Amino acid sequence: MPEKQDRLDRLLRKLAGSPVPSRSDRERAETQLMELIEGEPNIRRSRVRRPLIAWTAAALIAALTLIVVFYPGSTSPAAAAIREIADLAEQVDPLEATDESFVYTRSETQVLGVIPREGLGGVPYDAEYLVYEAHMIRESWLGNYDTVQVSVMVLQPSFFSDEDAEAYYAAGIDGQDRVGETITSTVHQPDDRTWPTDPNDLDAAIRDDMITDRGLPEPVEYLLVALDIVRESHASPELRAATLRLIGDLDGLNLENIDPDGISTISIDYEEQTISKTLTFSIDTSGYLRFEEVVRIDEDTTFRIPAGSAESLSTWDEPRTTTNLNTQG
Amino acid sequence: MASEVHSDRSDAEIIAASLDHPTEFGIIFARHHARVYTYAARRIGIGEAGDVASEVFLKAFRLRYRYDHTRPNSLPWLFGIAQNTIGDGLRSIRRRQRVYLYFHRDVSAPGTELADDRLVAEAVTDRLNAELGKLSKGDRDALLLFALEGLTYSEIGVTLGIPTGTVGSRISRARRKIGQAIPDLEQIAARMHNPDEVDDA
Repeated sequence: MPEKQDRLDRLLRKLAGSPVPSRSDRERAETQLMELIEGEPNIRRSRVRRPLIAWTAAALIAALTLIVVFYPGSTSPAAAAIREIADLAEQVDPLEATDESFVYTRSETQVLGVIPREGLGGVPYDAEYLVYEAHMIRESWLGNYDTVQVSVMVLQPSFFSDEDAEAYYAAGIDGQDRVGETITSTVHQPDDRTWPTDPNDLDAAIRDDMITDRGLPEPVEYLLVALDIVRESHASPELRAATLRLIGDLDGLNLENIDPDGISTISIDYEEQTISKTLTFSIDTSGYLRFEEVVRIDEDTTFRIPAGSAESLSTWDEPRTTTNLNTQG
Repeated sequence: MASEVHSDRSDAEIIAASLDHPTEFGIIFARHHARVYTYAARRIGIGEAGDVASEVFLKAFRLRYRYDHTRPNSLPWLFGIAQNTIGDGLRSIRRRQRVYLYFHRDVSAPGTELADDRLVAEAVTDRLNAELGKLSKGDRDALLLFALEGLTYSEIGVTLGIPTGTVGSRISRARRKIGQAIPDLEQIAARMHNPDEVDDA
């Protein structure tokens, strides 16, 4: 895809200008950094990780089943299951990083990628858009300074037709996508520090973070923000529980399944720009998100996406601690 | 703090050296503080840009032992940290304002053609902010990193932790949506003075 600035880009840059730091801004920042540098030997601090409470899967499933069956009649099975998970998740001691260990999370994701025809560098292609499924494995290591190392291994994509595959490789999109590479960075910070755990405050914070004018139903927008909070292992048990309870209050949730490990699968149907979709997610008994998928029910003739295709699909392994910072793949 | 700002050593080499000699990290500060400040000011305004830029280098120093030393230029990495720092600030400070682009043009002389230009620019900025707010965060961040900071797709991929091809599709989608929402963008841009001339940061 050509990296060429268009008129919108130039207008944005013109409007934003190039503000420069004042001398006092620079001196203050430099002083703070030098103080940190000089104090580095004293920075490292130890944390004592409390042991995990050993829950047995059988007991949890039994508890979930009882709650689902006996919860008051006005509560949906999905809401009952989520609230019970919230109660359990609140009592689980959190995984915590130490000076020697990291909280490790691994996920596998596929997501639809779209390349406009003009982005194919002149490679002959009949349709307006080339759509493909990108695949990646993402690993994160949460350290004890609230920092995260993230590695993304970009796997070979899959295609809806041979023509799509030929155009993709002929245009060198695999190189742009860095297929076959593992990209490691440390730019992602956990953000649970900024989320309140008081239900009313958290509800307000989630609503403030929602996008409300792109045509998605409110419960879906709410859910997207809430799932961001519980997506990986960074949220505290209190925050995880509070978030799940708010999710349980949403309208339109359907309980699809509770598997033998106590993982509950919930779905919600909605429509986005005339395309019917289903968002499905699974929560384990510690309140961790383990599966999330958006399926497009209808065929999308604009982008030539077959009916029933997953717009995005992710699975997460159970988070654990590790001393190994090398990618597991 | 940094006498080697213009030396031949890459950022990666300097960051590696700073693991044993922490004061070396001052060179990274000297090289990139202004760019990080400009980036922050464009996104959240000059009122908080100083604090954000300072916080970015404090975080970067703590994170330096995990820097990917195959990347000679640390700016995308610093922008990535800034991205998250700004995100925290936006959530806690500007949650309700939903401002994504700050107007900084120095065209304030009253009663002049430039003053008219400023009014147009402010109106355009308001409209663009409204449309930027309707984009997904990923699309918006990709567009602004490309348009404002001049990062390559590959560098944006590093900053946001996404494949390069996805960067292109995000930018393309963002442009298309804004173009559809503001169909008179071409005319607006034409009313601005020299819209095709861009000053480098």
